[in-house]
Amino acid sequence: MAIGRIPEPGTGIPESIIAAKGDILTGTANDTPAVLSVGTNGHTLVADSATATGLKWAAPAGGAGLTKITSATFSAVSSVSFPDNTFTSTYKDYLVQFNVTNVSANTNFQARMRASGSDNTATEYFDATLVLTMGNTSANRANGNQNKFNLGYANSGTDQFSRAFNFISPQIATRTRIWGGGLGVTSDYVTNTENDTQLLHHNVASSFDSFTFIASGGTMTGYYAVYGLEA
Amino acid sequence: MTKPLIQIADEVREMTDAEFAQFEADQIADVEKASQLKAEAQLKAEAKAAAQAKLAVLGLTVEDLLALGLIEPEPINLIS
Repeated sequence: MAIGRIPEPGTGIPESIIAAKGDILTGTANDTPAVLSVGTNGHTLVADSATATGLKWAAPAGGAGLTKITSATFSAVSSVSFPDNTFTSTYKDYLVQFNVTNVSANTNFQARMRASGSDNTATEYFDATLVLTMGNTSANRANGNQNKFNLGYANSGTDQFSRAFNFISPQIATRTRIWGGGLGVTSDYVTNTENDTQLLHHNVASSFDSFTFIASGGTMTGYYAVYGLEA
Repeated sequence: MTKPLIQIADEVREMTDAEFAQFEADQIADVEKASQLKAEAQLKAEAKAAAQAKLAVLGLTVEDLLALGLIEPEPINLIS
């Protein structure tokens, strides 16, 4: 008959330590077991010496690249804002796609930086735009010391307005710069379809966590998406 | 009175009083700016007409100045 060692009572890990689906057994120190609850769907377990267990659940980094942060559709609104805390320290820069598929006539497309749930209305906005149309006409415009960015204007024939912007570290308390461009398309698509190259600059060293697109004088319908850029 | 709709993240709601006040201020500023740009364009057009009249007295046209490379073709901003 084989004789094994009988465990001393109270020294094993009781099964009751597992309280829920997805709980995993970890340790916080020598001879100190602990449970880490399951993380968000899609997240993976990564090492983090700053936590009690030395582990945490986090979105897969996937190496340097683009990660979608948020997106939404909007319909017949005068402005649309990203959620609070869209811009955080998680990412260095951000790519924003903004597409308007329907807009009321005589609408000025504008935008403002946003922080803690409020648009910033300081007269510190500067914008510069180069325009080239399908009809091979060109123009430029620039505005300084405004209380919003001026992105463009929709006349009665405009049926699409799109922008793709690179936000350079808006979450850091430095002057925020945004560069990119897009198009404005009208029913007269030959002469009135334009390609815009645009630079936006907010001249105060502030930290912003969101952004607002504005249809001044009208309403707009479309969608946006925000992506985090990993360095 | 129904205020314009705005969207924050997925929530659509009417503007608050403060947001509506800013919205109206923006509208007024836009109208003033458009009026200012129109006045500037009018002054520019008048100056251009006056300059063309002076050219005509000399027997010259804008095309003559373009041919001499003294001026650049004027850009046209159609939408923005």
